[in-house]
Amino acid sequence: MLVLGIETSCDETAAAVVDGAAPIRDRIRSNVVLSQLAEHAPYGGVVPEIAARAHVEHLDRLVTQALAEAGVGFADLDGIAATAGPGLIGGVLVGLMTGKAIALATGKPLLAVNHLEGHALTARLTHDVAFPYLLLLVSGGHCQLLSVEGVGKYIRLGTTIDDAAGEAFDKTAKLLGLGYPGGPAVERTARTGNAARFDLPRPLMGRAGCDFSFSGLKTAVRNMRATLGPAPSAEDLGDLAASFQMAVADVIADRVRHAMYWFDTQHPGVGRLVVAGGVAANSALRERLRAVAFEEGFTLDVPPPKLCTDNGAMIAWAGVERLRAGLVDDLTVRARPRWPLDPDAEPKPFAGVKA
Amino acid sequence: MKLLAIDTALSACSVAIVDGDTVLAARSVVMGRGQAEALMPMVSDAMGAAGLAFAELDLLAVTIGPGSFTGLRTGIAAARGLALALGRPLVGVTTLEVLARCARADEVGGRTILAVIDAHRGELYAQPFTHDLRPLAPPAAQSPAEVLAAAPPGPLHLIGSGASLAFAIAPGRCTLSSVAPDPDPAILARLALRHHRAGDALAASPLYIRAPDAKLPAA
Repeated sequence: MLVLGIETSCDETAAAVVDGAAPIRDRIRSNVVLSQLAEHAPYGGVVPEIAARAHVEHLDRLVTQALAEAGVGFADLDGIAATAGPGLIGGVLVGLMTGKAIALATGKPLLAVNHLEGHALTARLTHDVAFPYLLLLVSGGHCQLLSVEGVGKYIRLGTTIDDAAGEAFDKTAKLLGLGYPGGPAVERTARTGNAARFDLPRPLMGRAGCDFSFSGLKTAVRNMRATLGPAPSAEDLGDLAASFQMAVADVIADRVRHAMYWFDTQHPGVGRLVVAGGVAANSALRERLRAVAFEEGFTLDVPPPKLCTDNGAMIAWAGVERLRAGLVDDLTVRARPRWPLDPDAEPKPFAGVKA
Repeated sequence: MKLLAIDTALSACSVAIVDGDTVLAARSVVMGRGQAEALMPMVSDAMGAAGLAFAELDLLAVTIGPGSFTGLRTGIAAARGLALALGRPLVGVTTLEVLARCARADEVGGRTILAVIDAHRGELYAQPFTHDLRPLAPPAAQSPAEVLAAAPPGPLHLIGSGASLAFAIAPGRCTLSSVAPDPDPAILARLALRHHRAGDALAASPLYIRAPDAKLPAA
């Protein structure tokens, strides 16, 4: 079962071909990602209009490349999957319209994929993880804990009430002058730092529930940075980055533990944790989650970094799963800037689309 | 030669299929928004009305702007997707050239045609053409006063959504077209075919004219 996947919801233009019928190691037939990092770097963040312009310029070439690397033609495909949201709407539209056009011209079914479902199901692409499982989704745009009950069936246990985890990394990097994107920059700088030096807050830690909050932590980093004077030493920056990263890991570990207790009551004896999203590439966070999973008796699966950040393979795979479930979309399907995985979860007014 | 043309650059969602000079099917709905949902079903419907399978198309065409950024990308992404899947060439045509070509010869007389699209923020996307449709200047984004100052001397025939804005600056010098302010897809299709045959077709890349709205952070 061959599905083409198209991803254009943020600042990566991506296309991939996945074979749903193949054993794990042969599933990803191609996975092409064009990062727009250089275009956005001068602005210190993703500029929606610049992103949309780049997507429309490059996507058809990337689809061609993905098919060529997979060694297949359009006629060999069983479905066309494209991200239909959530994300930057101008970019989402480019990918979805391209997907619709290919589906119409080839007569293949269209799968309009929720980008978050792409992240959520990646562990099944890479590890054949069975339903249900507990999912920590941590990226530049999201920070959520979900119980993944099946394809299209999610229960949101908690979400950020303000900033996403990746956003906190980006803002911290900016405050410390480490450049963009912030995640890898903070991790690199923190490697030599003393995480115990600065006493930063752990928002919501110990409180009931599974929600996250990172905006106060960012403010504390700004205040702490101000005490270091105009030209902080490399040691100062390393210590502050390490202290920040530790605070994030502490908060996430605490929230994940709460979610595990809930998951255990609903699905006794299952004990499966999956981490997805760009922030899952942070090795300090991965180590902490490994420890929490061990202590609580959960298995932990984290897809490789290349499949944690945005990519087309996860969209193609979600397309495979939806095609198998008969969840095919028609050509009138709408691009959605906001599209929560759990439609019943209450919105968080200060988190906007992130919740 | 069978050609499918798409336009979602302005306020309409339009499709036409021609075989040479014969129009096999044409659809156009003014909608302002919702083009991304309406376009592909409209293409499918028009293909059915034309009695064609996609494999029978020889060529595709799309308006590349200027126009609404989102509208341009909706049509161009769709057209590029179709061209890619069908392995057929794709021709880009500017909205301003199609609009000029939509003007009625009996209304134009010997006047210079000024195609003008309301670009909002006090500006027009504009381009002048001779009465027989040769471009006199490249497309530009300017205030109505600047557009009229830059136009060649003499009487002007205005067409497009910005016509009344330009007319208000110099009513004595201008006449207004009675034609609708969105490109006629059948005229677009035939114009694309003409460019393709002449070998001077544009690539299907958006013609934004304006830079993205983004400020560099202060150093």
